[in-house]
Amino acid sequence: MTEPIIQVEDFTARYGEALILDHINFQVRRGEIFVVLGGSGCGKSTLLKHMIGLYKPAGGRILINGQDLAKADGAERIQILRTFGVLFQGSGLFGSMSVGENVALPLKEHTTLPPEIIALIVRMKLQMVGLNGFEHHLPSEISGGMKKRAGLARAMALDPDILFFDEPSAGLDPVTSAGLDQLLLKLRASLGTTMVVVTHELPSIYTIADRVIMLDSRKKKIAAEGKPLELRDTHEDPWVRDFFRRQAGPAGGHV
Amino acid sequence: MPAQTKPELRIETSDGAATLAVSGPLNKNTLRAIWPQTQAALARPGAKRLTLDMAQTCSADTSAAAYLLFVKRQAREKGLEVEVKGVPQNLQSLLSLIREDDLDPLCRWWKREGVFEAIGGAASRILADVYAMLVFVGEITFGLASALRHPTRVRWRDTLYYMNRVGADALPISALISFLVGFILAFLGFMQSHQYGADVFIADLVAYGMVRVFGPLMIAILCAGRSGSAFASEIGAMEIAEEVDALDTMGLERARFLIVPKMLALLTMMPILVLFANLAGIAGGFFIGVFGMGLSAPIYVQRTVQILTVWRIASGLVKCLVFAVLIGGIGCLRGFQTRQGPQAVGEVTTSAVVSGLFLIVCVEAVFAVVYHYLGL
Repeated sequence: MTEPIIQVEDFTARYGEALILDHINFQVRRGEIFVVLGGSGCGKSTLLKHMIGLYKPAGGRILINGQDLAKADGAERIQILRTFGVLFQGSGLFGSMSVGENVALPLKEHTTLPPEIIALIVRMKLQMVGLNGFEHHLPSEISGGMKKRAGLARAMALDPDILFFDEPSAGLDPVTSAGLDQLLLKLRASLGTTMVVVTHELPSIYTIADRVIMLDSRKKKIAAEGKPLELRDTHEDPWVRDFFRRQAGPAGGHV
Repeated sequence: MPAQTKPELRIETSDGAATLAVSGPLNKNTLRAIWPQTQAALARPGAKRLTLDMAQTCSADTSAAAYLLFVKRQAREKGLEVEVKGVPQNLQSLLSLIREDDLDPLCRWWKREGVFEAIGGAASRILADVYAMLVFVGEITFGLASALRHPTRVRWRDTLYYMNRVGADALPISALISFLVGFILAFLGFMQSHQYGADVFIADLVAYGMVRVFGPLMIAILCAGRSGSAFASEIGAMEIAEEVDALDTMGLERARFLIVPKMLALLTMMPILVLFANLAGIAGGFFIGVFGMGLSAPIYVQRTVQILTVWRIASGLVKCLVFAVLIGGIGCLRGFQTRQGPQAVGEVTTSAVVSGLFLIVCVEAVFAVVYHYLGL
């Protein structure tokens, strides 16, 4: 298949003494929707925060387009950061700016585009996420689902190669959440963006995921890797199959 | 042929038809290169029809799509017929995500509001604020009245806590500030009165000035900064954590729980603070008068006692009760006006202090006139 766009090699994460992830390896391929899955506290968000360069790995390395974000600094780091966008769990919109200004910010700061073109791009991105006409609203004036979509518009502002999503459906109702899934599929189909999604929403995983990895909070390793339906039906570990069937195991599962 | 790093724009005009042909990489990093030329071409097209040819463009992104839309719209606004051809595949799929007609007329939102719009907006905000204050005054009055009627329903434990914070904790700083104000007053007075040999009137000036104006005013300013802001941020944080909503839905009056204890604390503690402040200020004046300017201590004390009538002291205390209502009221009101967002609490806190100070100074001016005509 296509070449990898993200390579996680022998990666270890710690918070102080506590070991969170232990020597894990995986690759994300260009253009796929890749889901990181696991129960609460298994290190999903930690993994994501390392991938987007907020934390430095305790061991191993993470390459984005072949470049190591943890080792880069200055202009090189900015250049890598510009290749991806992140939708944070709480959307991360700046409360002091309108929705339009939030989306315009990376364009104003990182490009030399004329204001007229920036204004049009902002409108286009907001329209893509279904927020046409909300440019003037402050983040505090729109609903949770709209904030997520506005955050997505901002993450997409620079046409990134990769989009990272931290629990995109957290706090959304099932219908809004399903709408967001459709939006991701549509964007991937037309823009070819690679997407890395951290979530534990099973319905959403079955809809969007090309491949998933499932983290195991006991062993601090990857418990399973593959296509979601295959893992549900054929994986050798009953715990993994149960997880995908949304069943508690004999001992109430392990979390 | 070496790879082209910048886009190029060729403009051809022939019998009433202009063609803009873009070639090379057109994206967010390069678009600026053809921007001035594009704008010039669109400003004076010199043709009836315009064709945008993008067949030779490469590595196009959303900004290229925006460029296409921009050219199309500008040309239409000038009444030209527009044709776009050679749109790269990826731009086509990008444009398929967008409903072109739904994008509002060009860049409208980018422009700032006009002067009249701004003035009108500000005026309507001020009106709404005054209305909110009036409603809130009603709520506070009702709360305090019901506290008087049913004293057992007042949350005394909270009240004591706030009395400690508003009063006892503020004592050292208010005493120090007042001492220094008395000190400054004495100096100012000395510079003037010394010219007429009227040094001894410094005692009158300091005592009268502290009791009538500076004691209550300094305490009010201090309480607006310390307590008004604290009330606003405390209620603001509760508002964000939906604690206020929880009170409302449990059928518990927010006035009784959140406002009355704070108001009672201010109403009881501020007069006490003012008395201490008066004392400290007079001590500051005494210090300068006796040790700095060589006035006799017994005479200084005698003049001070002479000028301090009960009515004069009481006039200052009455004023400080009004200040207490203002500070507490504004602090709580701003707290309840908190909206969502990380800077919301900061905003209401600042606003509580600023509106508090503004109202204090206004009321001080009114009192100055009223007391003058009452002959106090």
